[in-house]
Amino acid sequence: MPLPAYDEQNYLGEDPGLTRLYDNVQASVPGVLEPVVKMMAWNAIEEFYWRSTWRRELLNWCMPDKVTCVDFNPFDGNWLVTWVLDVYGHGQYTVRPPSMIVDIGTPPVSGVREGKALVALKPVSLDAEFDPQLFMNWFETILDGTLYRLYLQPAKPYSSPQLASAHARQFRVGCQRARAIAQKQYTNGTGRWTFGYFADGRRKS
Amino acid sequence: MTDFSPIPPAPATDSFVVDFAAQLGGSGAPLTSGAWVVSVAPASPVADASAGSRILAAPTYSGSKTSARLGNMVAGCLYAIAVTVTSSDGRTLTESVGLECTSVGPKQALPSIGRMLSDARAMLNDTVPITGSTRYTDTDLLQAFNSALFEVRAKRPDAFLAIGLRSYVPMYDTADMAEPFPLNQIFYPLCVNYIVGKSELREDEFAAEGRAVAMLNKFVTGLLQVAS
Repeated sequence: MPLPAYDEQNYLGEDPGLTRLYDNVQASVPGVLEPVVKMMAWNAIEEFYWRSTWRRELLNWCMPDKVTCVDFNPFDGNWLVTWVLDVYGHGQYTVRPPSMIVDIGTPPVSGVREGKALVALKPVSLDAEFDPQLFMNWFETILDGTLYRLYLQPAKPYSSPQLASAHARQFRVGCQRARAIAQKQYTNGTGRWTFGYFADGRRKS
Repeated sequence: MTDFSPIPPAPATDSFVVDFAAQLGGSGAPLTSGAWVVSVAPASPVADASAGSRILAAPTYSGSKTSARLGNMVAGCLYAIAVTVTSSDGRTLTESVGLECTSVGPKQALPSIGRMLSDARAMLNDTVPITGSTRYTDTDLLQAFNSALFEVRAKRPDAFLAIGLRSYVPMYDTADMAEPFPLNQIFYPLCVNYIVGKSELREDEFAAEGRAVAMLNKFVTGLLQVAS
């Protein structure tokens, strides 16, 4: 899916999302070096996925007889499980972070057990193929995350605690919005219509 | 190795001629066959995976000259062209020629260690030897540059992210004049300032006037602040 371009002639790389991010940072932060921008951009992207649980997948799992744990990592070549958000299935399970579920039923249940798990993912590296939504919908948030890390560095020509604080706030707000949208199954509207709390005799949670 | 005149990038094409008259000498034996091989020069900053296909037509041979049509080259790439010919009297002759494909837009080139020392000498007023030799030897200036790298490593560790933060700081000697400047180019003028300041410290006049210290302070300020 092509991303909107601010200047088609000067696309510098194969990944217009990341290149746009680098251009925005390097054009506005004096004296910043590209390896540092890449490092901070990667930290921001990883924190975005970690905080927002933006990329979610529902997995089917199966525990063979006499097996008591399942590890969902790695999810695939480009993505890792960072959170197990929910586990569905008969029996009692606990999560061993970041990606393992353990059957803690006593006595241990014999036979094959199956179920589903809702997991949140994060990319393996900057070379991973990000979902197109990341730089289409959350570009400003990733930019804020990158900039706050850069401005927060001490003893640099661009050090600025004030700017770092402002961008950090915007970054956190963006992560919260992304999480809220993901929780609503990617519907960025007012949410599902529900009956008033009085209709079923209990307060709406 | 001689060089052809630079050629613009694709779609430009041009004919290039190599004359073996000097190698043939007075024999006057004409060239009968041969081969042109185009490859990317080791010093090329730009790669070209299809360098071998830049010969657009079969070379021709006439008298002591051979010509070939080259083109569709990659901007900024330096090509090495090896020409091997056979003369009618059975001799095999070779010639190597360089060909630069000009870059699109502003010329991009990394400054070298040698150029940095030249810039420092200009500020030190040490370019024209009055006594027959320069006041500061290359070794002196390179020692100052190596010290500058240690200072940059301490104050701006991010400058060494690409080199490796857990590896030794590179050090240079007089055999490395053609080596490219190892850090980002924004540190180039700062290192020149440091070399000048460090060198002038040993001159009583400049040290007393504060000029040497001013240059060293300019180096530190440039590393840590936008205004310098």
